[in-house]
Amino acid sequence: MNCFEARKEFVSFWRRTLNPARRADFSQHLEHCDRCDRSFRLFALSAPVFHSDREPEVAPRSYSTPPRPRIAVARRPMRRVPAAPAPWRAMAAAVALLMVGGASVWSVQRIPSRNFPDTFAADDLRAAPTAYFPDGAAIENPAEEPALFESIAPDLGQPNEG
Amino acid sequence: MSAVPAIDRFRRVPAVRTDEELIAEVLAGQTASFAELASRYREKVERLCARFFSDRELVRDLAQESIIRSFAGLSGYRADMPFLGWLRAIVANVCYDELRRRQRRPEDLVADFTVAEHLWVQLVNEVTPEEIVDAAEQRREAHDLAHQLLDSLRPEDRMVMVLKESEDLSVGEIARIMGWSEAKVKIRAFRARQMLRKQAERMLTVKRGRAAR
Repeated sequence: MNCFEARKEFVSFWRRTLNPARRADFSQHLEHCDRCDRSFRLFALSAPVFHSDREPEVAPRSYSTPPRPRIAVARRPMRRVPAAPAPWRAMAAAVALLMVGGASVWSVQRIPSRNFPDTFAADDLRAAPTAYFPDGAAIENPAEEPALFESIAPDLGQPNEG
Repeated sequence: MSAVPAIDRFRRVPAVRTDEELIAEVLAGQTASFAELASRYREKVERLCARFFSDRELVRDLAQESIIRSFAGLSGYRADMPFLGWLRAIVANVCYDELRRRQRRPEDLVADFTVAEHLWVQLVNEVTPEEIVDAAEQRREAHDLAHQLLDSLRPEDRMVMVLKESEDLSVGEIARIMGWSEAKVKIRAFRARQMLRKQAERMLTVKRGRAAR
């Protein structure tokens, strides 16, 4: 059997439809031909889907499920099992909810009825004129403080009598 | 001794009705006849779906959907082609839609392998071809890994490969089923084989690399 013939027989070999003599030839060829042997092994990775008519239910335990290393299990942190909730916890939660709700209602009652845009657009927006002295002091309405103005610049406020 | 003469016993055996007869009955209003038709092909339909998907629930669902679609479209069946061929086209299209819906990226392929899958590839690398064939019949992971390998293909490529390799269809038949040109089928088959070989090589290399560590 040459390489060309061997490669044509991959499927028949997999499906066990080769006669014994041909099967023996095929095996012998693969034993001596590394390239065909490699190709058959690559073929074997996809053949279970392409060329098998049934799938095994579960893999046999003997060689498909090797023992897992115990150290991995031992090092795994213990998971805490959550305890069942005590009945008083539900009651406490309900009371807490009621208190929070009551506080919310009370605080809402105390807040003026104007909402934010109203407040923003109303008289709060009008800033009172402010005068600043060089030393950093400020007076709210300089027009109402003539005496103060005169105390700063007494000569400027009076007509020249000379 | 039985009192029934042999000839009468033969007469009592119900004649096996052909697909065409059953279809004619269904189209004439005897919808119950479709159950016989469906049971006749259910296994083949499920087997074809299983070539595309490893999840058994999904395979059953897709087989069921295919059968329902075939019932709904039975009036469009033409007797000049075998019923199985017509049904196969429906199954292929149902599976193709599902493949496109859940398309995975090729780089997801070598993501995570179980210990069993690792051992299977190790076995493929080391034992004789006879032993590989024997082991593949018993090992579920051989199928799972093969599905993973095929997941690396684009849906079009996978369709072509399954229909060509498993169902042994010609390029012309695949082109008719998928509604593609024959040139497209040939190109897809060529690319699919290249991709499959590349991914299989990669899989074996990864295994060797991990085993060496």
